[in-house]
Amino acid sequence: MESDGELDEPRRLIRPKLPPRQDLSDDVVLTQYGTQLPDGKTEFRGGPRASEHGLSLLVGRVDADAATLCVRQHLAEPYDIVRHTRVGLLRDAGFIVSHAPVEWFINHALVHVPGPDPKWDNQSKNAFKRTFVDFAEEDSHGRS
Amino acid sequence: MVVVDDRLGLSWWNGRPTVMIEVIDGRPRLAWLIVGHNEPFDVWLFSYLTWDEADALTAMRPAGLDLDAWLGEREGEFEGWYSLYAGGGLLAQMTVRYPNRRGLAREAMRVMHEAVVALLDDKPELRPIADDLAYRLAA
Repeated sequence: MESDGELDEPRRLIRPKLPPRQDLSDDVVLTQYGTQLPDGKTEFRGGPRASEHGLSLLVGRVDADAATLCVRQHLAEPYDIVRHTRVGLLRDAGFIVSHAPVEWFINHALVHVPGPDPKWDNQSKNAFKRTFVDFAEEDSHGRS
Repeated sequence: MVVVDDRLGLSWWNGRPTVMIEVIDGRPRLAWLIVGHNEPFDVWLFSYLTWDEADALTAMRPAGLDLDAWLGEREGEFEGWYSLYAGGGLLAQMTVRYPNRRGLAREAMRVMHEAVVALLDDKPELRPIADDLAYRLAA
């Protein structure tokens, strides 16, 4: 494309500047987005797929409506649900938890397993799930 | 082969972009993951945008955006396509054209549900995907 005898620069996308990463203290509550199945069972991602790097959680105790907008970018349906854990519980179980803000929401955290292999074995998946059970027990006793 | 001149992820989940703008041959294109954040299959919406629309989206810091409503408020017809991926491959792709852009997320699920149902005779293993989409459409 030419204009006034000079080549136009190709248009570039505006790249927003991400806010700085924050240290997440052990007492920070985290939220995982999930789905309630027709039979009433709940389904949450228990480990990353091959194409994924870590598991995403939302920083803070976020309800299903807000989580759905952040995660899926549309209004929540009755099958959109959330569950909660705490940074310290995940770290105690051996996971690496880091604040990882993304362009459209800064309250994003990523959970990894330590080491060069990003795959989660069954032990990691069970340990991850267990932290949500432990949090629910804590929560029912008034601590969160 | 599609050559991407520029690419920007706007929303990410589980370490991969779920809303992207890609510039292809000088034209911005929206890619939006409608289903797949928690499911074992992906439904994507693709549509070209104007540069004004692309600039508006990249300038947003919404902390929870109803992209379905945002698109629905844009004037003009919708031309785009929906794609369904599972098991690392493309299962179905449908080009669509509507007089407006309202309700595109639900429409993506409806169109892909129809596509999966049409494949069931040859690929009965896709039944869980058809059931999942039917469940969402009935909600």
